[in-house]
Amino acid sequence: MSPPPISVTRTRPVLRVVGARPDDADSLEFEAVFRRYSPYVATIGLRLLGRDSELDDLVQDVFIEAHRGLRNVREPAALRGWLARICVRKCLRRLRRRRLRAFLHLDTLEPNLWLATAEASPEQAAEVAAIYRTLGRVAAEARVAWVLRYVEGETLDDIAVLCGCSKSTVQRRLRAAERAVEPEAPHG
Amino acid sequence: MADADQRRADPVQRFLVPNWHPARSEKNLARIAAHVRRRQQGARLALALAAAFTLLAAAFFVVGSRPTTTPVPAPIASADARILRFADGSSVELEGTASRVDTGLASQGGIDVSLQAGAARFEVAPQHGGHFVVHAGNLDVVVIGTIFRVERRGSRVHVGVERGRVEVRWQGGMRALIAGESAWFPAEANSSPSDTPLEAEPEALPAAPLPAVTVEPHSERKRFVDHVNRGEYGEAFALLERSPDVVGSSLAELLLAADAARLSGHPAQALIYLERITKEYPRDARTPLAAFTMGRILMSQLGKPGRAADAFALTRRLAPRGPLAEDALAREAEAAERTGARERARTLSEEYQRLYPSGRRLSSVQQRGLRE
Repeated sequence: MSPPPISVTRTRPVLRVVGARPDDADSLEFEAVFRRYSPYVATIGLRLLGRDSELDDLVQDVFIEAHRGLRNVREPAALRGWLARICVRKCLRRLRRRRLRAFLHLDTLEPNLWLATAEASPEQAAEVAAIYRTLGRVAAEARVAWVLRYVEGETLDDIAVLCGCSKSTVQRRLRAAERAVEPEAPHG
Repeated sequence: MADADQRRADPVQRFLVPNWHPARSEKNLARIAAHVRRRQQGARLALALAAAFTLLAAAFFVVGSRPTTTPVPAPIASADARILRFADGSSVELEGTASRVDTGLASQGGIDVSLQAGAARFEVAPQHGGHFVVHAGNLDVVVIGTIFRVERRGSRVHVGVERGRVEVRWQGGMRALIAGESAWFPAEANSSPSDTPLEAEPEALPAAPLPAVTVEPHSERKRFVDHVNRGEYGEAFALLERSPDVVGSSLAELLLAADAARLSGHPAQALIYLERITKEYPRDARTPLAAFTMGRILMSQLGKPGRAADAFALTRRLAPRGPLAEDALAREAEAAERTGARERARTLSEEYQRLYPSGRRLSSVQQRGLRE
């Protein structure tokens, strides 16, 4: 049977929470949280994983978990950090799995050369790919620490919270990543 | 050290941003909705069927990523039967009467084209969230916004890139090619992974594989070649540092050594091998690419715009009508400006505008030419 033609309607999907609180307000609240924070989660996820092909799965995983715990988040201001913690945890798991799969030749640690947006020049795209090639060779925890510190601009204390470890552990992981990244820095 | 890390992170901050458009966001929201629904409604058959139906409707809603009811991109009939054009602006131009492509059914995520025989030139529009893949034998050429050529000869395939980048994939391997690069696939067991610059005319493509780097089994040289072929550039360079004679004097070996040095983060050492190529093989078809790579290393990684300008000028002297000439001229102008040689930069900018009135770098070159 041939697939029907692809079409798009303008119906917005509404997530109904059926069960404990079958209230439309809940579903709209989650939708609002998703629409507001999914770009942020997608950005962190892409920068941690270095792969767009895994991004949809990652974002879904993050928000499926978030949906379970959303009602426990009392402070709206805490939402962003909470979602980031979930995202970091899931990215770590994916990165560790990727290294194992690469060891078994079921995956590759090589980055996609077109990781960068179309606005990047070939040189800039090559720099981005080179960074992720280097990060692919360090431990997942060190990679995450480096990206959160230098790309996302997080403080050491915040990274410790995001990664669920101590500040000294973050510093140790950062040093490991910095040693790998250090060989050259772009000039000019 | 932190400054160096921050500098390296800058392009990631600027250019690594997901294409998280509304349609994609809605697609993911729909899938989450489906997951939660399944979890909460249980295994009742009616609810399971409803969930399955909702999932299906959501897939149709999101996969096309189109604001209106629109069929997936399919080839559009062209006045020239040798040219296939797609609704997104991509095109496939068949070369010669024996060339055949099969576009099959365009998939929901992009466009798949199968090169059955002969050669074709592909001009691909940027595929936002989708893909454009050319299948040729056991090879897949995955592209995002580029111009490239694929040719089948017997059991081997030649891929050459004019603009942008492609990834060439086969079972157990992958290789990226950038503008100006081309290569045969699969590489033979003893052949060098070195590149051949793309020639403008199909007849100029090599009819035979590149000169082989023959090695004795289990030798250090073989280990070096194997490391480079597997992308283990750090290990390859470490071996090269310990035993410089793992590479000989052939151009193919010098290119290997340059790759190992460059891609393991040792640009200054890469320069040594590239300079040898330009001096010892001035007439080889691959030498312009070596000169061009020198210019890029000098400009971006070693901060020597004066020498970079000379390298780009050499690229143009070696192949004034080659595929790298336009880029080299634009970069030479940029490098001249960085050295403070404004008059030279302006002259080069004017030359670029004269030679390439529709060039890719026209706007940046024009701006450079107007600066005092």
